[in-house]
Amino acid sequence: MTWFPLLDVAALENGEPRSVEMPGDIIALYQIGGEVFATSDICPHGNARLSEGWLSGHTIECPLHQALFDVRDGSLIDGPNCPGVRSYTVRVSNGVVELKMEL
Amino acid sequence: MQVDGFVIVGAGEAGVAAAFEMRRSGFVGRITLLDGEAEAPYARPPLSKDVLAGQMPNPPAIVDTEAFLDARIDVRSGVRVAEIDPHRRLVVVREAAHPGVIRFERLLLATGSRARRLAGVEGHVLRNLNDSKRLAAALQEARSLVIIGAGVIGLEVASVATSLGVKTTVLEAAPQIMGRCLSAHLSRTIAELHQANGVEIRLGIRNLKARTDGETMSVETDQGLFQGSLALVAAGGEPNTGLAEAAGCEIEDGILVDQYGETSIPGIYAAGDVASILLPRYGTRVRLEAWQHARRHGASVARNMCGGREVYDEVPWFWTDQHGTNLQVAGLTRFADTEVVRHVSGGRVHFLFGGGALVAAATLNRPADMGPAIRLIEHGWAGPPELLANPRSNLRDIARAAPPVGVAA
Repeated sequence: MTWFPLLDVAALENGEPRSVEMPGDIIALYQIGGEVFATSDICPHGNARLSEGWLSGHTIECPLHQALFDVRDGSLIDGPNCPGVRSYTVRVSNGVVELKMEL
Repeated sequence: MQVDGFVIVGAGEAGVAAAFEMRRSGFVGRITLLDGEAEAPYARPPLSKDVLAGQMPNPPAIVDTEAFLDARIDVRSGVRVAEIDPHRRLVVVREAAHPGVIRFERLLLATGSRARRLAGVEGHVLRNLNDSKRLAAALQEARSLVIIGAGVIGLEVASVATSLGVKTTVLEAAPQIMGRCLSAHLSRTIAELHQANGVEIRLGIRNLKARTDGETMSVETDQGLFQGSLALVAAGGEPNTGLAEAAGCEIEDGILVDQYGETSIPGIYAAGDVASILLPRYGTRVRLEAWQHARRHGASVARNMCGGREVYDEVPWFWTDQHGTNLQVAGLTRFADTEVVRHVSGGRVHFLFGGGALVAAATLNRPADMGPAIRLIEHGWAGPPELLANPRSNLRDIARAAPPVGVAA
């Protein structure tokens, strides 16, 4: 199992999404009450960055057309007809957010 | 014995959202969703954008067919309702292919709106998929287009037509474009955007008369004669209230509903474009024609049909794409007396205050700022306008610091 280091967890503000690039995708990270979640940053509906959207509880709202996704599993809660957003498993190890690479 | 279920007339965004919300609310009875159009329920925003531009052959379904099956929602497309009998609780269908009556325990009218036509003016309109396909095909051949009406639909068509190389003129009776939803300042900006892209805009048009001379549409006005190979009438929508009116529902522009979505006839509800609703946050009755409102209102009324007592009070919101610019508007601009503009990289945000509280906001190429703007409107934020106008202030922090909705300041 490979874990890819993304950034220091201290750089994440509670409730404020943050975008990080890694090979193959752009990742949106969400810190909610000390827990960290990750999805692709690209909305599967339009060409928008979810990290620019509004986070409310565990729900991220796409800034373009207000699709709502659950950041815990990427599922579509409401919005235009589109698939869920890809979600990633992350952990915090020695203060660093690491993303699990699916091989 | 069959227990009567819920019947929904109209499978646009409001009707479809309502059907699924009934299931989410725990309703296990029959749900029948009737629609006069032949196609399975489809999304309308692309009709004036990608479908019209020929970049999308068909709009996406509102939800996939399997989802209707999984939720046991009986969707019947191509079925026009002839009559509602409110006393016997029947929906009557007289079409040869599907005659019959459907009994209902509760009924939702989500019949939407149709394009307003102007007396004596023949031309395209744009409301449904057929309209969009017809206009798209005509645009491929056309050299010039005259659009009557500078609302959102007219201007989105102007944007698409221009991108296809069709010389476009927009005629508007009001003194500004998108007058119902934009401040005068922002309206001028959008007009300039169109003009910079080659669209001719004429405001304050009077005495409009149109005629077809062979291949040419001629539109005579007090400001002269405008000609095009095509004409589009984009003069707003009219609610489809016919069924409700015949059934005895009170009508006031749209179908009059209370704060729970119920019409003047108990057990009959209305949602979306067709409903004249009370928005408590503005203390006024409105009829809104917008994608998000249709969905949210449909879902809210569905919860009330399932026993909820929820007062609908969403901040109205819509987006439009014109000449590659993303414009989003939240709230009702007409309640504003003060406007400030936040100039930020790539675009700007207009904040509109009424009586000291934020009542509306518009983002121009700044979708990321709409999230906090909507929350500030929800909160009725009443801080200093200069704070929001200052590009160094952090909108998200300000929005998060606003007190929870419903808590007095």
